[in-house]
Amino acid sequence: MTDPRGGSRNNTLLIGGIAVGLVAILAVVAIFLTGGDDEPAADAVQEQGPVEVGGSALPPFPQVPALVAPADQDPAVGQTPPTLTGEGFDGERVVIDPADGTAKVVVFLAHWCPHCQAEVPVLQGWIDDGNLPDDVEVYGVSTAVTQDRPNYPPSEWLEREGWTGPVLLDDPDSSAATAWGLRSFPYLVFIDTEGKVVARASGELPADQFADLVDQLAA
Amino acid sequence: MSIDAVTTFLALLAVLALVVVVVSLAGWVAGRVRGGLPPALQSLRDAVRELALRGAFAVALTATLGSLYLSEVAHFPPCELCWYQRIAMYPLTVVLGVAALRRDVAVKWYVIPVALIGAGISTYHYLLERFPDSVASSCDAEVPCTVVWVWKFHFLSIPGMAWIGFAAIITLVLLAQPGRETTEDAPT
Repeated sequence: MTDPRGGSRNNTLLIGGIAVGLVAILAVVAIFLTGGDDEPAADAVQEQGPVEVGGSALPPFPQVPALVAPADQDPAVGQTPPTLTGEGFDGERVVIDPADGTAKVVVFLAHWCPHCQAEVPVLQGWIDDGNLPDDVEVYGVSTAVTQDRPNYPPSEWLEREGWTGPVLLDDPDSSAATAWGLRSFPYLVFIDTEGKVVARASGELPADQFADLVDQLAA
Repeated sequence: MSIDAVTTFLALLAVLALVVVVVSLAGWVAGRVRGGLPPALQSLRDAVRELALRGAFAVALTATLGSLYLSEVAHFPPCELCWYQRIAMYPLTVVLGVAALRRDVAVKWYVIPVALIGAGISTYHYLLERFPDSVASSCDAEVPCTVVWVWKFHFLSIPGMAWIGFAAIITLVLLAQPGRETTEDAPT
């Protein structure tokens, strides 16, 4: 008969060896699956840009248990937000001037936020269905850009979603978002032809509520 | 190694740990139903039982170092729920390390309650990631717990890996048994 203690020790060594071997194999598999080294730097498309803020800031979005802040609880209603002058993904100049005579919706988006990821196709689908009046513009502002966070880069995300409106890139300090009173993502500001805030919303706004607010602008 | 390679490696380790949990559970059920395992599997099981405490320590250490890598090297900021899971996991590294050295299988009475709490928080966090609309419809500008930083093999996020870590630790300390020779070999 073999020595049971020796057999047990052999088994223990065997199991331990298998465990260590498996971990080493998994490390190799992980390197193989991901191609090993860091990805090369992105191309010439920029994800952030300088922003010039002209005018006084809007008060922060009120903390209310509703997507759309009620007018009597939102001090920004009736105020004119500051003009934002900045750049788009290709370095082109993008200006959001509330008082340029055109009614507009400005949508602040963070690429890593799941609620923004859900909101973009809702809005774009509504626009693609031809619902957006000709005299209302929809601007995107890509803010809180962080390379380490999910769904980077925002340029590829918005291209993937077929986003058609002009996109202004916020700076690393989120100057544009701060000046417009952003508190959480996504954040939508509705502005009439006189450049005054009609309503503000934060969160996943359903298409019908978005449409109602756009109707107020076009009226 | 890139961040992606490290997170993939951690995810693969989690899958391995999950296999250990599932196989152990299946072995336990099979043993119950058949009234005992075949002799070949019994000796295998005894070998695993001897290594189980060290295995549990390895799982806790990997989870701790992995989470520190994700926050300090990859710069994924830990959210509030991440911190609660860290509070449950980090001390287990020390406790299981000491228990593995002392071959103290009674440590399970202290480890399992903590690991169960950790697994509970992981479950909640994982569900939040899967259903972000259940708590809020917007992301706070700070660090929301609904943001999914890592997503591997269509089911593994960071709290998903943490859950497997806690489950593997519970499984291994339940399996742990002082080996026949280890009691004799223990220093006097």
